[in-house]
Amino acid sequence: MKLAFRLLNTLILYAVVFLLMVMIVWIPRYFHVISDSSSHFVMDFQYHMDWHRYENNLYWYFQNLIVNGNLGKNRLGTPVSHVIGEFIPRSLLVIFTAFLISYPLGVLKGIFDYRARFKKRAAMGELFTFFMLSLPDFFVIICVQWLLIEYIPWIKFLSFGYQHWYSFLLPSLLAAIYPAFYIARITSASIAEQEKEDYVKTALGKGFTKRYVLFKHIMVNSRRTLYNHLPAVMLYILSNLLIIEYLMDFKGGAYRFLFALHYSRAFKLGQQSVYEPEVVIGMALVFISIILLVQWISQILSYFAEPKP
Amino acid sequence: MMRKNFFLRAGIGMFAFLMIIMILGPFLPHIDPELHKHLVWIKGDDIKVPPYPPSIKYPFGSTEDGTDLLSLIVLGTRDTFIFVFEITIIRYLIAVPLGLAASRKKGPFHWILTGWNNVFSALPPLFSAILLLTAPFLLFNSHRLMWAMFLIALVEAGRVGYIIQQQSYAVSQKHYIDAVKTLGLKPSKIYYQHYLPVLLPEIIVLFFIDLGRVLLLIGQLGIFSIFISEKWVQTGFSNAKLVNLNHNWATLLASARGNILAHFWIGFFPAFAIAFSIFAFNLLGEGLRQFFSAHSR
Repeated sequence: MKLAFRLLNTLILYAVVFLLMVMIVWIPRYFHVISDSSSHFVMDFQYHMDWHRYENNLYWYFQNLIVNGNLGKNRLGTPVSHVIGEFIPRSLLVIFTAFLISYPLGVLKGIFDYRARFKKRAAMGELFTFFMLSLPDFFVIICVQWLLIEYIPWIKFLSFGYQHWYSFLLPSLLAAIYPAFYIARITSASIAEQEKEDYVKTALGKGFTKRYVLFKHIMVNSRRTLYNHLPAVMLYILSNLLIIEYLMDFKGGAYRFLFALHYSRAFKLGQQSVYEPEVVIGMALVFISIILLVQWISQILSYFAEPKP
Repeated sequence: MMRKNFFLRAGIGMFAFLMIIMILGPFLPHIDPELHKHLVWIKGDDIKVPPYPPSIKYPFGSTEDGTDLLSLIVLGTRDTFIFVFEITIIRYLIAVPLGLAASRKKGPFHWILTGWNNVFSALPPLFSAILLLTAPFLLFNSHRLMWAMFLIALVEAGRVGYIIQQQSYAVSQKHYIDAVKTLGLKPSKIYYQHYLPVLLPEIIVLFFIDLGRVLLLIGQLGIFSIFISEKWVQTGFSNAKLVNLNHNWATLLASARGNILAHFWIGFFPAFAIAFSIFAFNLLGEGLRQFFSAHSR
């Protein structure tokens, strides 16, 4: 039952994180504008925390959530569940595809890096991985977007937009880049660690080829490491997703989340707020649930993948 | 290939280059320290409006208001690096003592650290930073800059503290620590006079790598137009907007989004400067790690 305990711990942690997030999102966003002088209208801006309003916000939100079982509405009156249903599936497809691409490619690159360590090819190996891991995701996206538009705009399946069935391909590829190199690094580090183990030396001594030992024994034990890093990979994909959806106008959950947050850098007196706290929480809830799911999968898989020589 | 610590030499080289740019920047040729805006160029019948593409006059092109982008980036080096160093220093000033205090893996400091690390590791740092920095009480706060730097430092302080805790714990398991304990010193003295010197090389390595992580986070926030240092300025009878107070690279990235197709240099060069600097920090960190491990035997 140690596993069940661990899973429950994780659930409680993520519930706490969700609650903290709800508490930040519902802080009232009204501010006071005070004009001093009589002849010139000079504005002085002040923010005072309105605790009463804050309590109200939280009370009504949780009452609605628990009693009516819904997540509220967006600013036009559409239920949040509909908004989620419209935007999230696009992101889910991208996330899932990015996972599918990055893991196998990452592991292969990791193996390549390890085997190329002391050869002249090391530059293509670990140094290249190191370099790619230093690149900011927004830099990669800006470059790739520009290259595609300038030089190869004729590849239909890599076009921008979100309406076609193939629209998920380009965002998935972009979201998979950093995670793939991350997995490559942990794979090659894990293999290097295994190499020192006695059973490897024994096997090599018995006459098995390096390749056989690698795939039959080392990779099997590295599985555990790979499972442990599933949540970290997921976090990187989500982080990339925020930037990708924003820069490419890919209207998925992260995009909708950002626009519901409506971080505005200008305002007019009397303008209506476009801030949609229910949508923010709804989208965040979906993403937090996805991360929780991946954490659970990772914990379950590592639990059953006992190390064996 | 790694025989003569290529990482360290490349890292020092790139870092030195950045320091030179930072210090000598305003005096270099071709750099306009006043950052003049050229809103229109007229040559006979030929009229050009900004943003100007890269040319001899504007090696990196210009921004939407006609300012030379190369000058902006060079002059912004100092602002960017000051932020990055300050935030990372705050992060380590919090995380190192906390990690040391939690090194016995029990007691209140351990619980604080574990809770903090777990909560912030549950979400991507970018996500937490966006939620915290767009909170309303930050928007009009006169100490916004301090708060923003502090919050960014906090986001990954738990992670650093956890690493320090793990390493301190490993030190505490060594036999010579029992000898140290018999000296009868206060625990804090033991931590700072005996643990810290042993941990210092690794802390230095982590510090440089964290410089890269902070710069990455600031850059990502810049893409979303969430900046650190800003001020509200009244623009009309009942309008106001946020303006940036300095020229750090993240603020330049805010214009990246709409301009990738038509004016791609506006987003590319600031992003490139950030990528170059992160690479320099990582090389330096990795190089120092190799240096310390080679010299500690």
